[in-house]
Amino acid sequence: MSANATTPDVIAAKAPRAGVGGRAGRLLRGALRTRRGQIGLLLTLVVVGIAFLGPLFAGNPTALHGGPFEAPGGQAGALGGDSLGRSVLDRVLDGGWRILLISAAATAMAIVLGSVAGVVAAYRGGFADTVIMRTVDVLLGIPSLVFVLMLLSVVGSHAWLVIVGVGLTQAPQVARVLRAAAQDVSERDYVKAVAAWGVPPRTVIRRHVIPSLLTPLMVECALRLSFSIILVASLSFLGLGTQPPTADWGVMINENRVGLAQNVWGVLAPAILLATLAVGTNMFSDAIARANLSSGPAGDPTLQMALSASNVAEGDEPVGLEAIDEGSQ
Amino acid sequence: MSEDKKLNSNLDQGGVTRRKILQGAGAGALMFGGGSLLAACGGGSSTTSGGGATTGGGGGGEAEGKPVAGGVLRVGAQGGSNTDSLDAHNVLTNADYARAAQLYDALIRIDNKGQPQLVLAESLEPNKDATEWTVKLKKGVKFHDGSTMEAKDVLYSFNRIVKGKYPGLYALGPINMKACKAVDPLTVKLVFSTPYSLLEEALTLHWYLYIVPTGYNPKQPIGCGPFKLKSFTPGRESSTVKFDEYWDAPKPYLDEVKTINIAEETAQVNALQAGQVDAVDYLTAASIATLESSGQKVVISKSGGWVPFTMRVDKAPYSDNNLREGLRWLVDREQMNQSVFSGNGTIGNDIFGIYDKFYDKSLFPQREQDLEKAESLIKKGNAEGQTLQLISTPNAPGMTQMPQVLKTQAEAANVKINVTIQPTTEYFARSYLKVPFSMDYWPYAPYLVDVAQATLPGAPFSATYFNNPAYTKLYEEASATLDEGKKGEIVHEMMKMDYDEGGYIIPIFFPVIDGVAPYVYGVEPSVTGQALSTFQFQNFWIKK
Repeated sequence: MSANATTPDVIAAKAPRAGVGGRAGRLLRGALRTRRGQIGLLLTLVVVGIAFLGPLFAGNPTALHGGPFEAPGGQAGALGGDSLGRSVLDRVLDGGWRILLISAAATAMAIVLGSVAGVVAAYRGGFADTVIMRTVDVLLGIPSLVFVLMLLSVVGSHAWLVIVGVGLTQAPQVARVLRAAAQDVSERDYVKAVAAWGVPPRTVIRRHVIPSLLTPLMVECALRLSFSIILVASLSFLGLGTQPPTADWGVMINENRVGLAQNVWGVLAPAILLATLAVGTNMFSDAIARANLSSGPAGDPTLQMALSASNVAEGDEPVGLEAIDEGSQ
Repeated sequence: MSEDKKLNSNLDQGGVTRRKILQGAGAGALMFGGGSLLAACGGGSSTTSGGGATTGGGGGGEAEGKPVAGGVLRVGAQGGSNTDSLDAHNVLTNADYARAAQLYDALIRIDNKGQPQLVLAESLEPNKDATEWTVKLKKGVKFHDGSTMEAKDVLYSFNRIVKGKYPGLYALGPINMKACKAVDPLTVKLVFSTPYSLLEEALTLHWYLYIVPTGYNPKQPIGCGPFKLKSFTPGRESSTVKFDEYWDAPKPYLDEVKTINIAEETAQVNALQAGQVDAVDYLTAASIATLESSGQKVVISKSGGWVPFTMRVDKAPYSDNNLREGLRWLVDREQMNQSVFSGNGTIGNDIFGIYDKFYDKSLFPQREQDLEKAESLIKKGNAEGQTLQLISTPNAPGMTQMPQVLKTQAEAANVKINVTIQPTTEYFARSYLKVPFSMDYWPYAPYLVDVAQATLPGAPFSATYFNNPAYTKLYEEASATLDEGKKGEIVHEMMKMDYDEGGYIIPIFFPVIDGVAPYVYGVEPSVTGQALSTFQFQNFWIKK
């Protein structure tokens, strides 16, 4: 591969991608070799499975079965009744997929926005860097829940607005991490070499910078997803997300907490699922990060730098194509 | 005791936050424990022990023995905010209602059965055409500053209400303040520009009509109520102490009432169980079992307060009465009552004012769910296949739950309803009295009093924009006649119009559910739709 690097505009486009893909796969495998990674993935998959397969098995989640907070095992099913006498089981089975989809969409938006901002800031530097990063600083200064609440109360509560709001609040974190990582990559000889060949900056970023950032992106994805889930569920809890009577884990916790003493499952079941999901995604992202670190000198330095969130100063240890290639073998 | 004091000082210092309540109650126990656990490890004083659960349903109290003087009652009041005010004529939050009732009294008070009861007034006499009312006042009623309540104070109070356009204005009807006069220190002549035979009933909205001394300053809230102010922090708590010269001696029995704002029900219930407060108000049915199982008393009032669905009769598609009637036949009222209020509410029949002396249940067949009829009426109303947008807000018991139940029930008749629950601030800014299909919240008032506020054209809280000239004319006739028989007939005619073509669906009259510690007595169920016996604290007493 290193030989190909001498004709970057022809070959390098494919080569780093393949290398990066392999590295991502290797990192994932590395993460899955750890107990932490296995448990994290298992927890995540269990909850995701319940959320997306549950609706197939759920009865009508809005059907009324008698009085509120009926004890488990009665008319309202195995987990008892909720605040209006609806089946907690049916509502738990049906109440997760919306949160997950909304969180995933918000995360995707955060990742796209954040990486574009971070990479452009790093590669362009100078004025663009200052403008973007100071904007990021300002956005980071606003508590995310407060920001989304404000947005929703001004415009009104809509699912798309929840996605946009949560995405916007998560993007600055992504931008910051990605800028640190991209700054390092941009300084490397092979990138400079490509630029020297007269390749337009957009192409350089797309073909040579972004592929090297895949590992920090993976970690960020998992981290942002778990933050987004918590945020989206909090919004539902506060009554600004999904509208009743649609089942939703966050809404359920809010609706049923007055009946905690009569039927604890109305709160406990959705709370356990949400907590499990958050813990699962967190553990998994942590496992990826650790897998990278534990691969020692061959590990992806961009990720290490990104994780330590330090700005890459000039005169850092020079890292060339060789080191990257070694890492991807 | 020392722990009790510590808890109290906790309350003193920062309002009540959920966290503080949990800390006070032994935080660890909350997670799975619910009621009894908390009670067992909370408090530390003897307050949580003993006391069988007593549920006052409908009207009976329990064998309570003779009232005992003394003691401090701590009330965990819901619904307060930073806008809390002690202004006698501008009560806003539910906590304001509780506090004002301690400080002030009015000419007439609504009793627990919804009937007018003379308080500061000795008698009310109309002239022949009901354009003038002569009010005789009780002798020797003292204000907290030691001055005596006189006719001029009544005029001053009513003037303040009219000038300030405070809510009590609507109860005073067509009053002509310029012509009103004090005949002697204990006699007031109230003059109205058109006949107003409804004055006595209208004055039952006593929480808007408190009598204050001439020159009243809301910053120093002086009234002739059973308690006088000791301290007040808006959004947090107030303390009032027994007024020794109260006109209705030996009441009040309590030495002091502390009214503490508690933002939400879970915190209220925990505070009561932990012995941090002695009474909590406006609970939902979900808390009944929790409190009873931990030995607290639960007072359930079947009230005449209503939480109607409102349909604007001037806005399509609701302008077609077929749709409105179809929706009325669609509701399964029993099921809604079960789901939302655990069956503690009273089934409604789309007519308000059920404790009015003229209300006769037998005149109107009770509407029950009839899906076929509903479906065909809705088809006739050209609303088939439409999605109806129902907007509500968490402002009162049932207002978020009832729309959900309606939506579910409507599915059975192939009617699609889209429910939106807006935050209260957004709702009052954008939707209240504006959107075509919504909900509203009313405490109990006699029928014609509500009519003046709700269903006449231009009424201040008309959410339905109901405007029927015949109906309006009937109201004018009713307010002009002193003939009770004739008035009754008119009321029945008007109720028929509400029933047949009104803009309200009134499936249930909500219950008011309060919790009090087992050593608190005198809290009777009341039909007014307000909590804790309409906040008549002078009747409460404590015997530990």
